[in-house]
Amino acid sequence: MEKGRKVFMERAGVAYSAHSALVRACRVWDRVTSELNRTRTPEDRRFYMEEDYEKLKCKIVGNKAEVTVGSSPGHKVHVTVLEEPPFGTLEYYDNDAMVNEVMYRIFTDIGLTCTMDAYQGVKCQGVRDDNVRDVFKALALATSMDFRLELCQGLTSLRYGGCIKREFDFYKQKVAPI
Amino acid sequence: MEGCCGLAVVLKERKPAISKVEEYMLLEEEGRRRAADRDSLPVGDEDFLGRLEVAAEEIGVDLYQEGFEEESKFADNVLFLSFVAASRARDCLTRGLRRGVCPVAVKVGDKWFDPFTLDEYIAEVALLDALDENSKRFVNRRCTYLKGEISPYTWSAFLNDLTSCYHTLLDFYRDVKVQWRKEGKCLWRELV
Repeated sequence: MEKGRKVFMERAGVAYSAHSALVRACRVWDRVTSELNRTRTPEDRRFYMEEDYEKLKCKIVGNKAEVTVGSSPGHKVHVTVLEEPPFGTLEYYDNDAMVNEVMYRIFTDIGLTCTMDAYQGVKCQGVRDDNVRDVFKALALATSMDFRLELCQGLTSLRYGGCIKREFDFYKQKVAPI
Repeated sequence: MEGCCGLAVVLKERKPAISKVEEYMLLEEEGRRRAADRDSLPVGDEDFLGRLEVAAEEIGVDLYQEGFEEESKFADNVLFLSFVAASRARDCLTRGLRRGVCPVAVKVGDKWFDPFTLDEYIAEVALLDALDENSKRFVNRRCTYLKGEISPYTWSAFLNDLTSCYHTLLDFYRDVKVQWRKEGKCLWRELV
């Protein structure tokens, strides 16, 4: 292949066949987000905001995935799968401190080693073939979470910690077992 | 007998249906042909640019819908350039200047000027610069060959550069159509 064209393809994200575990995980995420989109919150609102759901997309190139998890510019996640130490990475970008707190808890619960910047996002290490499915399921929860947390704080007696716990519990009880 | 032969002529003349991608490729061929025909007046070039504009728009929309937002901007650049250049094609034709003579940009000292307006800003060149910048990000090289290299930069040279950038776009588009799979919200590449 001509060198220029190869670089073009790499830059454009078409150089390699997609990692099969990532494709399977993406399909799970696709299914989970479709199901959650039909779900209602305890406040009887849509689980996802319509404009967020419309933007959901996952593009896989080789062992890397870029997942758009919301309608805000830059609300994305980069996931890389690696089978050997130090294993793959996850970069979750969000400027909402509460959402980052929940996602940090979920990612560490999956077994990833993470650091959190409350207003920039969560970075983790340890994504492998055998946990990437759980990672993608967790990503389904990130969409419109700011909206749900706002509802939770405004319409229930729960406050900061209680609402964070409610999202985390929902993940553990409803999403993780899928 | 007459019916038989008449039908034969009709059948012979009937062109096979071609795909959209093939249609786009034919447009590239036409661009190269026009660029190489330097001794002719730019008759029909405006119409050609109009068809190129439509093709670039279709490709851009398709790429965007397939999830290639960044790459669709390259198609937008081709679209816009085709649109802008149409008036230049008209100018060359009304002045009776052949493709290999009609100037788009002329170098004086180390500056380039539009020979008609004497303006330093030349829309066609500025838009080609934008295409080159985009191309460098994707292909690691510019998509034009003659811009900034020859003076006067003629309409023929411009058509050559525009077609060359369109080729880069088409190359990527064909790859997307053949190699990428889409399922629900997921998009991935599979080697074939």
